[in-house]
Amino acid sequence: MDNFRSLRVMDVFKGLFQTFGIDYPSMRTIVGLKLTMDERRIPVVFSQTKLKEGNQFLKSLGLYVLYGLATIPFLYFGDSVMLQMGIVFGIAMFMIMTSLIADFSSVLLDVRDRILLAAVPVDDRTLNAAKLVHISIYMTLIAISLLGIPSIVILISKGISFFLLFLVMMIFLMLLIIALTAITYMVMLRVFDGERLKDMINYVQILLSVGVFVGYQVLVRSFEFVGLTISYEFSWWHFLIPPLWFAAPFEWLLGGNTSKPLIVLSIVALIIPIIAIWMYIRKMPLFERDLQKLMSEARGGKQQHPVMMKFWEWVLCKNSEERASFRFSWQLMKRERDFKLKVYPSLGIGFVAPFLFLYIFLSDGTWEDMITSNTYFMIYFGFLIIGPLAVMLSYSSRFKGAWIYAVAPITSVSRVNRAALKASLAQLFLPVYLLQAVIFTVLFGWRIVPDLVVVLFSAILYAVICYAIGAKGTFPFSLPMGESVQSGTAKQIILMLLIGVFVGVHILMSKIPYGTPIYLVVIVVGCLVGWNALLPVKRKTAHM
Amino acid sequence: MQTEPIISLRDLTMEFPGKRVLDGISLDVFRGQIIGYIGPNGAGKSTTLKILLGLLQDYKGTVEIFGNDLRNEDQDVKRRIGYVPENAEIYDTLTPMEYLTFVGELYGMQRTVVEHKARQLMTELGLEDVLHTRISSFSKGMKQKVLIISSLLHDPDILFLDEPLSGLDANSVMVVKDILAMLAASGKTIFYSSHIMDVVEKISNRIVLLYNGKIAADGSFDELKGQGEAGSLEMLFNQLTGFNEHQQTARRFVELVTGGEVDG
Repeated sequence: MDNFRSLRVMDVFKGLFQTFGIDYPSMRTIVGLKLTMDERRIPVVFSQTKLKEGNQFLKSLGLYVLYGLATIPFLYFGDSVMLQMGIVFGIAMFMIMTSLIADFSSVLLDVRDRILLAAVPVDDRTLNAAKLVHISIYMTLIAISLLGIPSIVILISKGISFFLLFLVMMIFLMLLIIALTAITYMVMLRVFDGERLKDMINYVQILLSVGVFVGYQVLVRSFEFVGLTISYEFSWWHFLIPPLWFAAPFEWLLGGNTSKPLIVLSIVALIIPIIAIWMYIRKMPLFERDLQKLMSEARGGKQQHPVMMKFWEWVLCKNSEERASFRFSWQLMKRERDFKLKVYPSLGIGFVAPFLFLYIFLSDGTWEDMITSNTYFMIYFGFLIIGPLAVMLSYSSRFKGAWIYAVAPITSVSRVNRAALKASLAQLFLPVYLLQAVIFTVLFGWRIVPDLVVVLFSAILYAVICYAIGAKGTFPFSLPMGESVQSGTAKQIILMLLIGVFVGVHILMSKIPYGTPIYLVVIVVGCLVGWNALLPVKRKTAHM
Repeated sequence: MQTEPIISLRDLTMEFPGKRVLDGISLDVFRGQIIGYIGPNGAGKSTTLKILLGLLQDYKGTVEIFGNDLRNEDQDVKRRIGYVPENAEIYDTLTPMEYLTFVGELYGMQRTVVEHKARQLMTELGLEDVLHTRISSFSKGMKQKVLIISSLLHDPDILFLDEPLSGLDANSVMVVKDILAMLAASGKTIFYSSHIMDVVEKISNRIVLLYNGKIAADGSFDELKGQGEAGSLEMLFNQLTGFNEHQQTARRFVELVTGGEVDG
């Protein structure tokens, strides 16, 4: 437990902690223990890949190094230091803040502290300091990985004064991030109850995953239009963008621009973080008290009347066993955070991808070219949703509850599986697809409607194939969530290649006269055959 | 007195890699009996229950329920069984109402009927105001009550319970005890495993003690008492499992805590 380098670095500041009345040895023990526990946690950035041993967080730092490299070109965009640094601080702030929320919510919102440590003779001040130190250690590590290389580049190409100013600004930025995150949580804790709060955190985690994908694409594109010379012009709303506060001193001190607003922005960059962190420290006891909410037993709650669920249940399910499973799956998918964390990012990607690639096409050709072309086949990128969805359907963080399937007199395993697959498509794929289809029809005109119908049936066929490959006869939600990580990647690649087959055949058929209507018939028959062959409704036992 | 056994085990053997958990168990259970199934940790109690429920299949020997061999998976048999698992394992992101309707429907009940019955049963156990709250926010005892209700919704003839009273407060324990006694009186068969000897002693009319994968004792509490000189089930339990050094263990433990000699 003593082998942590960060702890030895912390020892340097021993005296400082003690002057604040903190019981240093206790704090060191607590932080050491937490670091040990962290070695057994998996960060969100890595949730899609497989990894087992060691401190997953430290390994994820490599990824931050990559993101850091991506910031370097921005250091040389245009002529305005303000814009350059604004973008760099913006990226840093987004990355650090989202990872703080995604991976360290559990640290900030740790209630076990309260239960386990409150009985031990350690005062609150020491406990809170331990928490703050723990978070700071990781923030520092993230910041160093993210901006280590860029700061060396700065040192070499922009000189020592630029470099020092950069370091100082980074420290203030980090103070602001810690305080801002904590204050955000304080407000959320006041407003929401425990379950709601966990949902909110879940959405931030999902946003992070989608943000990384989309951000990356956009970042790559943006090289094209930021070649030009932009000089900085102040507008009042710049006060609302924190990264610009931190960029202001560069423009003022190094760029020699002494306009009033810039000086004010620079002062804001110093004062706000200090006020924020001071508020955080002062309000900490209050925060800790509100944390109790996370453990509270909520009473009440209203009965929900999900209209969509009832509609699709009525449309898609005939048998009562199937209906029961349909509702059950629908409700579980709506609630289970781990499921959302694994599936929703691909939902976002699947929605954005077709438009992103159309956009890329547009940057090479004209609007006229695009709407008369067959680029509407891009809508197949929406299938990216189905693979992870169908595979994840077998997993649950509460998989132990699956005994109910074995105990209950279920007449057909396939019926339960069908219901789950139908529910997942109706709840998550269909809304995205319908929205995409409407937008595509607006863009490309009525001519593509028959093809869109083909795509829909292809999706239904594709889904059952994915499910047959992914689920292997088990009941839905009956395998431990952790295992999903281990079996995923290879399968996902096969499933993605399969999308290519669908696209290829469809494009070929669309070239033949009357090809599309013929293919529509083929694919509808394919759906019927596929569903009945892969999920046949007859008595059969599942492997538990 | 009794005719056909409801549950019948013959030479039931179960092996996990490197360990024989059940070693040739034979047992007949009759209508209206409340079987208290006891034994030290890891004796194979839960394993027996899981086999009876069809959750574990690769056992040796025969198991019959209502005269049907378990291996020919009969859904009509399952329809007549209720189960409460240990550790309150449940899809807890759902609300009790959602979960109970799901379970009821799997057992072939009409949705409106289940909803009505679930609401009434929840109300009787004092849970009417959490019908639409996620189960994940419940205490262990509340979860246990939901599971007990879910096992009884379809009015089963046999009830398998794994530590059914854990987490329940004293009043709820009394209620559940009486529920079990009345169910048995009305002809249901109850088979439950537990560690809490006082409860087993009071509500079971037959006690089966499992030790090292074998049945070490079988009979009513009075019968078992006749075999040894133990005054309580707890002492009998110690006697039959060959554990008689609880005092010495306790003494050594306390000495380690205080760092000195202990009187008594």
